[in-house]
Amino acid sequence: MSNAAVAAEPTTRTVALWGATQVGKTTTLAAYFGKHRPAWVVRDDSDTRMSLRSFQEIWNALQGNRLVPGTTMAIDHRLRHREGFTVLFRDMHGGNARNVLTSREDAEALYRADAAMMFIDWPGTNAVAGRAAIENALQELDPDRPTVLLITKCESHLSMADFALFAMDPLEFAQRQDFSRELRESMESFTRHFRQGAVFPVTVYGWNGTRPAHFYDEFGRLVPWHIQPALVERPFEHILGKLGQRKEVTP
Amino acid sequence: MTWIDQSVAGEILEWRPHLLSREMEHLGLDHLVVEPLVLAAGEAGHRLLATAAGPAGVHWTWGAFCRLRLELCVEQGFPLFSDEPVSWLSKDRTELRWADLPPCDALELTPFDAAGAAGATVRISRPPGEPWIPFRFRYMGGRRSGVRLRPQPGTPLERLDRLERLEGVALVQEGHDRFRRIRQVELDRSGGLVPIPESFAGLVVVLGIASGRRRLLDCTTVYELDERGRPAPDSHEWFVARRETGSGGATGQAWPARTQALLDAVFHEAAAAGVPADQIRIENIRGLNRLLVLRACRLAVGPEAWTDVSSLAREASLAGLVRHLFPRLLPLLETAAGPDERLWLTANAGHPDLEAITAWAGATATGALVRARELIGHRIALQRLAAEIRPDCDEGREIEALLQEIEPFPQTGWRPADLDGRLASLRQRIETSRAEPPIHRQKYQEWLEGQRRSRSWRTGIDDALTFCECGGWLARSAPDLLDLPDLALLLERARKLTLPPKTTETGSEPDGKRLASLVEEARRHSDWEPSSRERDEILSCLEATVLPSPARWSLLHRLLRRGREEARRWPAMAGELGMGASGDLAGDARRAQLLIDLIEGSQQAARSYAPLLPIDAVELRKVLASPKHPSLGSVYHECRKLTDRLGDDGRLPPTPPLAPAAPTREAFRDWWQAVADLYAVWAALRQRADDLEKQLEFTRTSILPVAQEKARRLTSLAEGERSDADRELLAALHEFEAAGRDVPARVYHRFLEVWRRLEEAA
Repeated sequence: MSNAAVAAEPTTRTVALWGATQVGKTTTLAAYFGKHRPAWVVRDDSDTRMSLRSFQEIWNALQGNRLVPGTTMAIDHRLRHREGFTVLFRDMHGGNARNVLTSREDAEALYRADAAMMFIDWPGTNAVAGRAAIENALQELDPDRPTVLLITKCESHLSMADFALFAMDPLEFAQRQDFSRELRESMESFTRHFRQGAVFPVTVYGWNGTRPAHFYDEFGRLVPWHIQPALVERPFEHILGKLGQRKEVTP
Repeated sequence: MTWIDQSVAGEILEWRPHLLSREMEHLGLDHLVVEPLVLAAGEAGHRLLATAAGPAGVHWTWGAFCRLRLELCVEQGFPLFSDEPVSWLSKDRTELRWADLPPCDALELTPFDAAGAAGATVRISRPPGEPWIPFRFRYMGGRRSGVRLRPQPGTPLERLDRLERLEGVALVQEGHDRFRRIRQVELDRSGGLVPIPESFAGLVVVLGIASGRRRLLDCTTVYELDERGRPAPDSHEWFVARRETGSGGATGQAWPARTQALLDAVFHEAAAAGVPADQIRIENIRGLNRLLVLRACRLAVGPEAWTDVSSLAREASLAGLVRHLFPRLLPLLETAAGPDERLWLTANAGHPDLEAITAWAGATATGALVRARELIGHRIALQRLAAEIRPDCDEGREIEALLQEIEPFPQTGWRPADLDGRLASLRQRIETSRAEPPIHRQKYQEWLEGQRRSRSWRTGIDDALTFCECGGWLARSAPDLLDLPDLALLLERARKLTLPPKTTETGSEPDGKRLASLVEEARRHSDWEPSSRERDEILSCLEATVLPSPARWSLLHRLLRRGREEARRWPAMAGELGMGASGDLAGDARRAQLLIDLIEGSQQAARSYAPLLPIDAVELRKVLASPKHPSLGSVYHECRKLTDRLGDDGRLPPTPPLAPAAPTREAFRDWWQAVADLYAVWAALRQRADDLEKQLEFTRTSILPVAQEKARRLTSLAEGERSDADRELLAALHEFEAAGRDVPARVYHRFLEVWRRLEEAA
């Protein structure tokens, strides 16, 4: 630890949510605020209440076993933190994740964000898009910025015990032979780049008994089924903890 | 008691009471009760009766007077021929004829005015040529020759009846101024015949005899059987007649009787007292009177007063004379109670301590005065000693005791035993006393002045040293001259001073100026302290250590004060640095400066570290400024528990960083870093523990119920029916459940691995 000078406290801390389309950014955000109702949120201003209402609608849809439409454009969710500042979750358009240069606004927002939450799902049909999103983000994001990597949709590929072990020590778990090589490489790229990076496996749908809480409809879409989100709050509280420390300090 | 008398010759004397009239009366000296004053006619004019005396009688002018007291005077004790020697004359009379009066030698007239005030008494003598009682002498020739004597016609014969006997005497002249009595015939009230021979030549005399005294009533000369006629009043024949018959006559007394009596008594006593004869005369009557009064009062006057009595008459009153001659006496006389005391005072007027005696004896009888005189010497001696010796020493107390013992002596007569011996012993002790402080008041005052100066000097030094030592000024109460700062101790303190080091303190320095002023004053008034090696060395020390830079002392103590204030706020830090008065000012200053620096450093460090740590900046500063702060131990202990649970020491040091390794800036910086690291580790561990708890929550709600159901089934199996995996699950589950809420990461991980293997196996 080194000495640092005190800087003026910014009133808004921006957290960029970055990831490919359908990776689960908005879903995870809604599950966090819908299920956990974090105590740090102060509900005395309209922006916060509007954001929470938005999350609640998504969460209600998920609990109603309905799919949530993808984000077509960046959406800012502002929530007042009890420590006085405002947390701005910038839910970025996943379609731009593959090529960040296509939206300079997104690139600028990503670059200027105080923290970032990068989403990647278990490699599958979306593996290329997810890998591209990670690589693009690594080009834009400051290595010293608090950043977390969320590995979504684990319920589809891991048992509860494996998920728990994966959550307990992702990097160690990723060393197993049966672990996805693409995912392991993405994780290693991430941890190499970010000095304060942390990896959090999450599952929004979770499991019903020992089975994943979803099914595929007649259109091949993964439809939620009595979801039980697990460990979605960890990355948020990690990143908020980093922001809380970062609020007063400049190197 | 005051009166004026006028003599026959017109002299005037006024008699008045004087200062010592009561005393003269007390002594029975009536002739000295009043004193005379010779007045000129002009001085008593309005009190004089204008008279004119002739052979036939007296004529007067009333003037302002309206009554006249007439007193007939008969000299030489011959009885008066009247029952009323005193009579009053009213204003319708302006003259008196001798012939109308009873036989007398003189008249004394005293006029009175309408208010009853008396004028001067004037004495008028009967003309000497007039017979007392006139007789007719007629020569009778023949066989029975002689001189026939008969009272003058008109003479009241009852006057003759007052005489015991009337005699007719024939004195024959036998030579020049030689006479011989040849006949003596008793006469009756109608007279008689005094036989004489025809050749008779001489005097025929009528004598009246009363109370054994003879009085020449009338006479005539007879020569050659012829009556030649009456002799002139002052003729030699009258003189011879008195001489040869042994009869009295008018003596020519000049003054009224009362004055004459006084004058006679004064002159007589003066002569008896040895006043030179040339001084005994009417002009000196006042001086003589005063001389005798003073003599009666045993007031000694100089010999010149005896040879020049008039010198005593120059003062207007006797009181003035006494004031002049005995200045101390008059006030005492005025306060004396009675004649005895006043006479005692006059008798002791020469006593040098008369005032002290009277003051001591008070207004009491002469006995007290006598006793007071007896011991006044002792008392004065003791009072002098009391004035000389301090009352708060042994000798002073003994003096006071002796004074109190003898104080009632004039009244009681009780005399302390061995007074002389005690007084002598006391004097000897006083003379040989070498006490410190001195018992003599004057020496004591000198000693006090010396002490005051010395104390002032030493106090200044003490103040300067105290400021150098402590940085403060002593609040001094009223000076106690006996509480003199010890010179040796001052020197010892001065020797310990060294030139103070420079500090980082700045600012105005009134204390430094005051300090310099004190030292300068001590130099200037070095003579206030008796010369000694210690004094000079003290000054040298102060000159060497204070005067070069007095401000340094002030700044040094300002630094020390700041250090003490910070030490009170941060006792643990101060204790770590060994703060406290060590007597080594330079060392104390270094430690104070270090403390101040470290306190500032701790504040900066807290501001820097706190944002990154789970602790408020204010709290963190308290910890960083408080080595061995209890939080350090508890945080470390919690970290140790967390590392035990999480299975990772998390860079936790082997021992808690309770205090810096040494009281140096570098060591403190290292310690602050170590403290910050500890809090950082603590924060990380807590975060990890919270994270573990979230994972455990998922496991408890998702996996554990399934595992527990599995375990229940397994536990219903016989021991031999369980596989190794079953037993392993049971053991892991048991361990998991036994851990309670704080499941260690190792236990959690084992449980998950066992369960995972079971799932895979299934």
